[in-house]
Amino acid sequence: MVFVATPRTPRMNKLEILPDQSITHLLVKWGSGDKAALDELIPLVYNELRKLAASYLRRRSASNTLQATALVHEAYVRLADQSSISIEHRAQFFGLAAKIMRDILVDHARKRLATKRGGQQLRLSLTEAERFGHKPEVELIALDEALKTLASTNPQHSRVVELRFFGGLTIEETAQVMSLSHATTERYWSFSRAWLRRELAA
Amino acid sequence: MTTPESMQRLEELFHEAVGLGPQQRAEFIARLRDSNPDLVAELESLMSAHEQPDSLIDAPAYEAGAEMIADTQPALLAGQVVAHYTVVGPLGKGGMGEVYLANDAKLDRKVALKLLPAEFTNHKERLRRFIQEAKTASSLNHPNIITIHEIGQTENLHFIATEFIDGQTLKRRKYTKMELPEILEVSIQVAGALQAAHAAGIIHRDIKPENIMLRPDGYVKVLDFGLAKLTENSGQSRTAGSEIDTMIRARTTPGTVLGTVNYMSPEQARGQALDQRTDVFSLGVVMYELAAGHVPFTGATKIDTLVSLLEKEPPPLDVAWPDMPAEFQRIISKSLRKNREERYQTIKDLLIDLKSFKEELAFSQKLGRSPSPLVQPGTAAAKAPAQTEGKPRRSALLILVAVIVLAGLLVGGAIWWRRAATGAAPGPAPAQPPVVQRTVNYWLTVQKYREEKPYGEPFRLRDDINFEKDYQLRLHINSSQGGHLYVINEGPSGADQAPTFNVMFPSTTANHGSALLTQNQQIQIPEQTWFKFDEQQGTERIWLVWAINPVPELEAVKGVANPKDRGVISSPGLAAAVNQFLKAHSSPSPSVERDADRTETIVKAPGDILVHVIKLEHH
Repeated sequence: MVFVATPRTPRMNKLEILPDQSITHLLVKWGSGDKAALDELIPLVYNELRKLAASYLRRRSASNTLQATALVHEAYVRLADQSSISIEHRAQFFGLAAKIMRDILVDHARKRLATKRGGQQLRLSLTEAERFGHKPEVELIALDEALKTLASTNPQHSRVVELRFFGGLTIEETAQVMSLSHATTERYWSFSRAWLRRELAA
Repeated sequence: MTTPESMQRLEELFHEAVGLGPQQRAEFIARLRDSNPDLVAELESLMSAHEQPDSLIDAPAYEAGAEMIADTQPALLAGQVVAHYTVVGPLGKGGMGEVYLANDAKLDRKVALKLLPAEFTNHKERLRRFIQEAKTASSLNHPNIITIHEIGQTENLHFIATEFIDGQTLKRRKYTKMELPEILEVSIQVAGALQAAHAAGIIHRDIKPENIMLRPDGYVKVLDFGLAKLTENSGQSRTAGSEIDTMIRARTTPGTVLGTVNYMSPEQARGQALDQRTDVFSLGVVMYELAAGHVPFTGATKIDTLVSLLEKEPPPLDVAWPDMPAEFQRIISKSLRKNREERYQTIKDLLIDLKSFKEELAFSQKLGRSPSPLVQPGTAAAKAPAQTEGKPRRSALLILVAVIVLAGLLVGGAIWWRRAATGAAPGPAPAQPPVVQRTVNYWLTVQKYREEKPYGEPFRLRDDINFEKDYQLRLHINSSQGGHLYVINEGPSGADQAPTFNVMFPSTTANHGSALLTQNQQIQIPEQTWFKFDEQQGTERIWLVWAINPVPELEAVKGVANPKDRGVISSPGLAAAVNQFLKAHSSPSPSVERDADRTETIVKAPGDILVHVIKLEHH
């Protein structure tokens, strides 16, 4: 039976959405082979990354300092119940978030590029022109393509880059997600990085 | 040719070289030039890249990408020019890409300008086929097919300029109930468009309310012929983890195959080759939705929806619309056959049935004007066709049934017509709609407790949790409709025990004790405090009853929701009446969906009373 508690509970004025067990729960379900759980996880992580990116930008313009925390980490802290999540699920989450991050970024790069090229007579404001002077869109798309090429011969290398670059994970965290040793991860990363730099410079 | 083996060799050499000092490295490379000349150039370029850390890859992606993610501005702004079109403003985000209202400078007319996302236009062959189909459909010059003025390209941006339709899509329109003549009229016009397209060898593949536009003058326009072709197989380009990739793409890219599972045909869901019968099915789904107020196949997740689509039969239409003419049910049911061999084989056959039914309705309208009193058709007769559907009609009995049905149909149609039709279709809906639907949104706030102290801040419940000892909760209700709300808790009870109920709402702790909520009123139950659980463990049920009119069985017990009685319905007779009411009205289950953030649950049910049960585990 449910009944009204006596009003000794302090009055709550603000209702905040805080980490609950749902992400953890979904990760567990997904880990045990429940595909529907993934279907529910993706939008949660996607929305969180989007929101964080927006606030990241606001923070940056306000204080003009770069935050060291990666978006994926922040999304994780905000979404998952720290007290009850296991290391495997944390790794799983990072793996998924890095993939989503890659998808979000590359998609947006393609869209923006298409729009900018299409609107030939579009007048860019000066700041925008400066900001896009180095065309991160072009580079991101090129990187995505190069990663696909890399994946065709070295799928594990490509995954390491995805986690490091798109997920912002450290070598240690990447090693954990990939179930590789620290040394192997380090080697994969340094080779892939050189290989990608060369591809991007070409 | 790069192979995994050559890459591996390269990587080994790379790491070996990196570990050496400059002098030794030069020697190493010199030695290699003799033994492995083809790898040297590659290795040297890698070594030089290794020492130049100023590439995009050297900072995490979010530094370069955050501003791109955060940018949710429309891709085109007013005043921008694409080819000879000047953008006036956004019209909306279509299934595929943004749509803008624009001015055609050459011909000084308004057009709808749709941008095609680059990811769909990268595949040249697919793009070519789409353009061919879209142009062919447009060139049919059919009044129900949207006219395409131009499919163009400026460098990387592909766009379609079509006639601008000053109307609304069926997706918007369907939120206000349609009368049968209007549903028929829309269905007939869509079927007409499809028939013309099919005759020209074009399958639409993506018939859904967003792709059907209604003009104020009654014309229906079908949009986006051939567009579905662009999204086919769009998940295949990825490498590892393709299943996840496909799902991610489906979720993050509107309009890809998984984006619209509600209107898919079973063969489409299975990824089989499609023929025109897929359009028959999708139109069937649209017709069903217009009649019932909800789509025939749904589930909590897209996967569940697909399972429902592939395996389950939709709820009978006469649940949502009790006096729905049997013939229309038969037409819809035949369009929705999972096996396409059993479906209408051509859209033309469907169109013929729709038109004859419309004529029958018109005929019974004349009957309906006759002064003799009309008899309500027997429900057995009205349901007969649905039951006999699909079986061979050989026996005399079935013929007899068919005759009764026809008679019932004519009379039923007449009653229906007289009640509902106030003007010639298409046109604005009459004031008293025959289909009533109840809809309510709710969410729960939970305050966890550990060792009798609040643990963390209260949060909105997103998923099933176990309510441990002392956890407290609140219920939040919001509806676009007004009505009477009752919230009843059913405690855990054994199979042989009578259920115990207590009233959570209306109560003195919220809404001043009244059950009546106005449109869009949002309430929190209780307002000041929280609900908590008693010692008994098990599954707690919270019944939401959302009715147009006061419910006598529940009005009778609402007095107990006060601090003294603590809401307990102690009279066995009243509890039995409440039990009977709840169980009688909770089947079939209402449709339940979650909003994008998964924090609000939207419940919809046909009829004037919605009963939904929330189950909470308390162990």
